[in-house]
Amino acid sequence: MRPQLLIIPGLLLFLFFNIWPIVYSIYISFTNANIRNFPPPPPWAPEELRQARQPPDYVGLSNYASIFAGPASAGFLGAVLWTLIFVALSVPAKVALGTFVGLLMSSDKVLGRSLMRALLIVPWALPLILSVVAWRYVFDPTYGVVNQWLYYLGVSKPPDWFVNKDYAYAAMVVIEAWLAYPFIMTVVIGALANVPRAAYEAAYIDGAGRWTIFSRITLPLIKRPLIYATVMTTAASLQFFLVAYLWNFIQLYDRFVLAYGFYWAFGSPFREYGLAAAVLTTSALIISVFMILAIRLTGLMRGMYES
Amino acid sequence: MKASAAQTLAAAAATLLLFYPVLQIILLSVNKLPYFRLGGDFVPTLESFQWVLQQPEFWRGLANSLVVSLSTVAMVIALALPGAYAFSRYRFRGRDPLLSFYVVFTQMAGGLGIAGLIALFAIVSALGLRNNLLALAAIYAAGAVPYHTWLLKTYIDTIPRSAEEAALIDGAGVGTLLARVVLPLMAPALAVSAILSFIGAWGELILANLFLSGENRTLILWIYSLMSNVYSVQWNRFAAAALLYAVPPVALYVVLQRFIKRGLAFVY
Amino acid sequence: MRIWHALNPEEESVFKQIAAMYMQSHPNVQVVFENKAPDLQTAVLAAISTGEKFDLFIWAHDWIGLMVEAGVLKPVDNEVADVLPKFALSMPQYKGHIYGLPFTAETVALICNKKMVADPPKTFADLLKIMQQYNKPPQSYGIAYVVNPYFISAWIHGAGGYYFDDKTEKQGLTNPKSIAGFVFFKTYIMPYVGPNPTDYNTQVSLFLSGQAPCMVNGPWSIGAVKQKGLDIFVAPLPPVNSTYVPRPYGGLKMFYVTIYASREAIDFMKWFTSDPQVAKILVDKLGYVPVLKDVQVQDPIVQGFYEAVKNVYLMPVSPKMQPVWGAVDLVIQNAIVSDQKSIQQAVNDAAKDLCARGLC
Repeated sequence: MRPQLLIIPGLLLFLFFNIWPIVYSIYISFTNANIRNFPPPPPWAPEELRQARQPPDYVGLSNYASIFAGPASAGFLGAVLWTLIFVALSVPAKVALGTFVGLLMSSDKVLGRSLMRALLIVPWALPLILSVVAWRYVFDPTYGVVNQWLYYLGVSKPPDWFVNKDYAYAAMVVIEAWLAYPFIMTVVIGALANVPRAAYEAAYIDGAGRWTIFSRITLPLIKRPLIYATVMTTAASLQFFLVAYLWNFIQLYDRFVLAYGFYWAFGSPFREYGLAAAVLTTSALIISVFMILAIRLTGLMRGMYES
Repeated sequence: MKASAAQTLAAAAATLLLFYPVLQIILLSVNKLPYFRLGGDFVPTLESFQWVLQQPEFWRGLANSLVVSLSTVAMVIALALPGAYAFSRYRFRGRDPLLSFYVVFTQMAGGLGIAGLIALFAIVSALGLRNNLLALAAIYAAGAVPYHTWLLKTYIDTIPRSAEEAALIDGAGVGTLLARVVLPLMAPALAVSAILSFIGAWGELILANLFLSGENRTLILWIYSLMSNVYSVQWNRFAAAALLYAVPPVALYVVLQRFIKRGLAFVY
Repeated sequence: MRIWHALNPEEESVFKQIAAMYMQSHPNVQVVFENKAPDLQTAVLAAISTGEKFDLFIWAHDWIGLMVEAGVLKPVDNEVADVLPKFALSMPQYKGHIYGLPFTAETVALICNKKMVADPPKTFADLLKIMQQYNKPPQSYGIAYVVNPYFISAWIHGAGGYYFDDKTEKQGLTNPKSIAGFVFFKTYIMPYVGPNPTDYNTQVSLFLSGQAPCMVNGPWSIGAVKQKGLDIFVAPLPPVNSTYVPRPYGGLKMFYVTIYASREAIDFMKWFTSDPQVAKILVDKLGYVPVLKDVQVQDPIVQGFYEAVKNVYLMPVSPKMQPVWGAVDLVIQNAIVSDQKSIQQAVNDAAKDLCARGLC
């Protein structure tokens, strides 16, 4: 029996439901697909239906022209820029937060660590919809702690974190940091789990200061796992979508590339599937280039093929 | 080393701060009033939970969610395990590129999923597979194949070949080999795979929303509908429903942590 | 006949009861309701591309344009001509054709606490006096008003402006009359609105706790008011003068007629929407505000909304309206609840934003 046969069933299903739609989407991006002609009737549909509903027309590169230099360019390039700003804000935030709590949770000097760890991991396990609502409540104009504190600090008109575009975007950064810190924390704890305590004790006896211990012992131990985790979490930030969709899609649609594509496909007046496919194809390309570069530069897949 | 008051305090403060959003939802779910405010009125009651448990939609959604999630788990294991075994034990043409393609895809699945959504919508509609729980599970399983193949492959790599070689000498086929020899050794990895694919299918919203309707709505769609009419959301009921919905994934996560502690450090 | 919908369970059971009445008198007709929530729109669009046949579906009227463009609907101008005179409103049309019939309307009206306001204000000047009298922040406020595009639309339309013109499919935010409407709202109402003006819950709770004499809200808020046990009246928003009559956006819930609709389905729709007995059941059981002329409404609250519905500015049916909501939100954020921009500047920026959303 050939080993390839073992791979084929999974591969076929994957190709059919994941890769074929992407190839098909690339094709759609060269057409004028919209609510009037898409989805087209399948080939086996009755003749009269196929007559009544002509398939989308091929329009060449015009959707790409639109998003790079045409009417949708301001929106698309803006969404790309805002997504990159989001990466620049959220990635350091989640890595710093995750590392900080990870280090605390790895310290023998902290009492009650196992309980705290259990609580800290919770955001990772929660269904996203619950997390979004939890944060909706934190930012609620009346009931939320954020505005309660702002009042307390003397802000007489605290902002509406949902309706106002910029404040909603700021909330996204906070929420993404919260959603992802457990992952970073787990990586840090895992990396520090097998450190011989003797190393620390020896360093102490040698009179090394905290910073020296951190930079000479701790940092080298967590560096590689942390780089790996940072690459993965950066990919997550680039693909940020669902929270924005649930928060206030009307305003956040042009702040994240995937949301922008989703808007044209499922939120715009005529469901401009062709234009949306161009946005999403380009976005997927940007994300792939990032992933491939990151993997090359960090040697992430070293040791991947050995068995 | 001795406990440090400063570090313990810092850790406790960080934990409280980071857990607060969840704590607030829990308090909201047991409040008699449809809202909760720090320092505001709080009348504890289980009425919201009772209300949720009395809704037929809750139970129907639960049943549908279980069908989708368990089918996904079955399909993921059935498809990923043989592939993982082949990747681990054999060398063949296309192996390395396919494996790295799987790994890269794993990190981009979310983005590519959205990119393919438009076409998927057309494909699924044309095949008449909208509003079909098993079709949805198949879509979930398809997307999970790369990750789980890779995950299981990594685990099989750690299993010594000696047992299989002995079986091969006895003349066993690959199927027997997998079932009799490899499978029992793989129990922990399969459990991890099952848990992760269950959680993934349980929490997915976008595809479920696009494809399921009416009687076939999963639990998340019912919960989503509780919050979608902004003018009449009963937040305490919503919180109770969402917390009940979160119980299976959180419980499974606790189990998962055990496996991670037992050395399955590849699960990230 | 198949009717698709996304009604809530309470509505669904009343609709089924009414259909059962019809089937009793029409034994050859079989009415089947199919729940397609949560995403009815996608369900309909997918069905139409594969030739899955159903007769009618139920939704608010603002999808008409979209569904016509998608090839879902067929015009029924001739078939329904005989029942049109029974309706208190003119039918929403897309490019000159009618595609279904409505059975209820929704809009916002003035809801006041009788303990604080004895009679409905006749003019805006009366309302202004009430607002001034009670505006003693932070103990109480002049009015509970959710400052969002839908709720404030009355003042823009009343001033002769508009967000969006359904005929020309153009935005009207930069129209001087629309600007005048925004200015009116900001000058004469905004100063009396309680804290967190854009937050629905805050505004409703101000009214429920007696911290505001009146609120502007729709029929969906009445449940909470009744639960609280407040004694209230509902009245149309009062006119500023004989020419400046507030006209809030109004939405109709209706049956849409698909290209596959049978003759029986159209007859059923005509009966359901134009029979006064059905209207009465809908009023009594669901608190629906009727759209027929001469329906005897006993409940003073429903009666109040029934009056308000007569002044509505129908929500546009063109799909191009959809992005306008987000743009008006920007005007509200930048120039009405804050002073970051002048209204003129804010509407100009909103027009640019609309362009980016595909409506130039």
